[in-house]
Amino acid sequence: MKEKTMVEDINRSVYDIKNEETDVYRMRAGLTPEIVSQISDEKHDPEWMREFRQKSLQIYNKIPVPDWGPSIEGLNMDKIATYVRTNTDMKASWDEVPDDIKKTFDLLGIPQAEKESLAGVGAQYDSELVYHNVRADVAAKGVVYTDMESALNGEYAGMVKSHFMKLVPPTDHKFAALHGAVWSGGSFVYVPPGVKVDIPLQSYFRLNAAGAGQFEHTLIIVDEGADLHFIEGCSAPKYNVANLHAGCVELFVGKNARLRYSTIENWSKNMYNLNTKRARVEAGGRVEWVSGSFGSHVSYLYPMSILNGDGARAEFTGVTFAGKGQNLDTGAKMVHNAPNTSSYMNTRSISKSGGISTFRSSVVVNPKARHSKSSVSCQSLMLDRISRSDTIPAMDIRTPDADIGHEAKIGRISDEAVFYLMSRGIPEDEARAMIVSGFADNVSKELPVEYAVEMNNLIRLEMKGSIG
Amino acid sequence: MSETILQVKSLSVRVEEKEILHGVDLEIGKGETHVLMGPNGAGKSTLGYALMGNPGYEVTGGQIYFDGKDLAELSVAERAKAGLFLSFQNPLEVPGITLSNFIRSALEQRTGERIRLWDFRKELEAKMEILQMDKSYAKRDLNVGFSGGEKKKAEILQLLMMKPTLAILDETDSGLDVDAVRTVSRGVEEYQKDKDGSLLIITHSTRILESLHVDKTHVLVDGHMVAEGDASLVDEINAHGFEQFL
Amino acid sequence: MGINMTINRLPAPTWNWLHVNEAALSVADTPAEGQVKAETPDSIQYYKEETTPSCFAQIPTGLGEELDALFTQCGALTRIWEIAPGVKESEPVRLHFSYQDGAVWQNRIGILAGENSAITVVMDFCGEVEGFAAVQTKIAAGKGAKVRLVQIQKLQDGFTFLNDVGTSCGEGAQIETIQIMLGGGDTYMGMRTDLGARAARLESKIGYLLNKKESLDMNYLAYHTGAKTTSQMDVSGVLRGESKKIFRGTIDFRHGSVGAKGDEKEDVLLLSDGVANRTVPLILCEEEDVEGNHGATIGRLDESLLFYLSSRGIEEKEIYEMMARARIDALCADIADEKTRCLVQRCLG
Repeated sequence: MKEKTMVEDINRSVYDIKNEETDVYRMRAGLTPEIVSQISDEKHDPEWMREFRQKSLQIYNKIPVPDWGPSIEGLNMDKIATYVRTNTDMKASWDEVPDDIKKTFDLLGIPQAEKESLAGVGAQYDSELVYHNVRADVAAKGVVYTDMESALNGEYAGMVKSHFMKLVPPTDHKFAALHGAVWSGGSFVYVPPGVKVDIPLQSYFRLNAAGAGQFEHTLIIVDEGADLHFIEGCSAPKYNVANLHAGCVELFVGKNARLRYSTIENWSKNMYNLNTKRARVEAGGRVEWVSGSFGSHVSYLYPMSILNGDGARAEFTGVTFAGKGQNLDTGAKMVHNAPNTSSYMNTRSISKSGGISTFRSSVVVNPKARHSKSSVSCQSLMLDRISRSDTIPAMDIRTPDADIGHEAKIGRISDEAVFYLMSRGIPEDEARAMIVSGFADNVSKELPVEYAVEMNNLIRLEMKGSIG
Repeated sequence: MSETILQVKSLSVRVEEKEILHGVDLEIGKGETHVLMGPNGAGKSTLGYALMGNPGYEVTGGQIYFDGKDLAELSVAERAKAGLFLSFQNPLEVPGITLSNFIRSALEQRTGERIRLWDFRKELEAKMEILQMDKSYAKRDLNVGFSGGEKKKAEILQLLMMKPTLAILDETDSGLDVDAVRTVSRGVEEYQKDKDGSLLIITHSTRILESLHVDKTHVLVDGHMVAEGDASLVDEINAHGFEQFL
Repeated sequence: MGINMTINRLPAPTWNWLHVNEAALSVADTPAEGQVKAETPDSIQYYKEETTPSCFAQIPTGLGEELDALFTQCGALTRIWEIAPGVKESEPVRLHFSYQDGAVWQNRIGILAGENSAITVVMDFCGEVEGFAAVQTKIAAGKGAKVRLVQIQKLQDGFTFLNDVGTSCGEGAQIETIQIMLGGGDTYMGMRTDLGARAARLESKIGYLLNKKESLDMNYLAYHTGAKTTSQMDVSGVLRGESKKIFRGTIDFRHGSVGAKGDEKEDVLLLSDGVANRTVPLILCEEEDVEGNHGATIGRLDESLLFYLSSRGIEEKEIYEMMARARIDALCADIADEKTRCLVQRCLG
């Protein structure tokens, strides 16, 4: 199978296996086959999934943590089992939700019921209702929109089995293996050939179900000629008593299909967000990532687009805001495997109050990707001199017919722009917030208006230091 | 009319999914000078690019015959070798290739023969003199760091050296001061002296035309040829603008 | 004996599967000092030192510490060309490195430029044999000094060449380098410039033509710690055959580099099916008031340029040939010294 060879190609060299003694120790102190088996029992896993989880666990125990990105020393890998146990048995109460999170909910104007739901402590019936309504609406068009657990045992079980972690195999990196072993929750979407879903599907409601939102798996298959906009997450900070998020998103975009995947992530600021997102695009298809990264203590997030068919296209539009105590390593990966493919990356990063933001990317154009085009533009804004902003792009081009452009810029807010706004009577902090919102407009203008408004509010709050 | 050098038959051209020219006709005889006028965005430059064969300009209908040949079958370089020349509105900068080496290579490519350096240099200097270009420009990299006026003069210099049968001048006068326009039109006059050389001058102003002999004027609006006349049409547009054609 | 080294480390590593984080190299034997034919103008003093003078020992280089250690380990002499304060010499120091047999060579060169002096050093590395050579050049530029370094390389298949440069700058010092690489087997080039004093400036231009199975592995680093320092790196080259190239270019804005500016530009023309081009342009920043830019174009010629040139009757294939050559010609034109320009033209053939 073509897709498989390709995936193996990418993974073979991702991590060198080393340091076996300590890994054996970790296996003993950490996650055990029994814990994973228990998850299988609770989830009523089919047999193949039981095996899949166990195999993933073995891989997890062999792979070292990444040696190139932000430090994840704060994550106690030896006690990883506690993260997983917390996940399966999460009983937080509203009183335990930290004050800064509660304050942010207030500032964003979120009603109490929803606040509790966002904090993972509230009843789900309100959102379940909305979710069912949306589902009924798209079901009429033949669209399948359900939670992963139901999909695994339902009518589309075969489709789940043939796609699950085929794009992001557990061998990809340590946290992909962890995900494979302990995943729980998430959404499954299948859009049949030619169906155009005209309203965005929003997974926000499902994600906040108890126990989800930590190792959730999103699997979206958009069949030939179909069209979907999927929105995941929301701008309100999501509080979780466990501070590790290792989700996985797999998007399959068929021939001449289009999928837009929008997400604003705003994790609580103790969170290690080690999320893996990947899309495979067939001939003439198109994937569009719109991504806002806020919150979390450490993030590793680089959605990958694999352009496998002639004329496939990928766009990535992202903004990252790193404030105090945050180290956000974000970007995108583009792989051109077929002729006439094109990829576009347009990102903005903002660093403030000691925050570290790193833009990291790769553009790989393989020999058979003749006449491919790629254009990368990344801009970084430093808001003070105690923060840090790094740009680490890489390009690997192996066909002479390619047209590859890259531009990166780093700088500060122009004093003249601030002065100009102030001369129109706008106070300085407001003027600076406006300029930063404007800087992030590459993302906000791609979002549905209510999300754009929320994102701008979020930037304003971050700018004024009201959060965290 | 004398023998036809260019015949454009109901030409339609599309640029990035948008049709710009909708069935344009144009005929130019040997040795004639035609003027193509029209407001901004009418499609004048598009016609120039389509004639020269810019790959970004897709011919969706109609034919172009140049000197009896169907241009659809010729690449850009082949069109140039066949005697077509386009003076660019915004000539590109080419570091590492001097103006003089560039013109010489282009001439050698066309004839397939080596050109004697001495003869070439003498002719180049004579033409530069007409255009009041400093000799040092010959040794400078093509268009690199040239002012707008110098770039346009370098285009006319290439025109005079390459002696095409039909030259299309795309807004050669735009952005130039009075003196530079005068110098450039002196260069164009020099080209006109050769009776076989035909000209299509694309412009939305009339300054460059003051000292030039014009045989025919065409007016292009919104991708359609809306009027045709003799040299007096230029004066009329000069006096009344394009309103009457809109 | 074999000596294994890791060189050309990327200052901030990225995904291991890209294989750009560093280069591994094995040296077959302890290098002996290579022959250098020097032409030194009278105003410039030449001498050699058994142990590296401290003004040079402090200077880090592009290829990195492991190569530095190798030089020290094999007891390399430092041959130094020094220009006194205030002296401005327009005639270059010429150093000819000629490799005529397949042995393992090293040379360590020091350039010491006194306050407000001006010196040009031209080095050419030529040879028609297989072999190995490592040349390290350290430049200590005093306050207001202007140092120009021109290097031309024309070596053979099967020759491994390490060209390592490190520079430190006093206040307002200017470093200008032009490096033209026209042939070799496996070539490793690196340059680190420490812009540690106010208004120090770096202008670095690199041009290369790679063919057959040649490989070029580069690591360039402009390290800004001084206020109002500026760096500019322009790299342009052509890959043909099955040649491979990695360019790592880093602008690092450290605390104190207030008002600094860094610019990096890379332009790569790919002409054959088997080529592999990797580009890793980093901008690292921990200072607010700075301006950093990077731009890269890789692959084909720009459509509008192709159209312009073909509208003059030049066939596409010929345009690519012209533009490949033009990259080196444009760099060559910036070399003030005529003899060196002629050498480049001779190497181009």
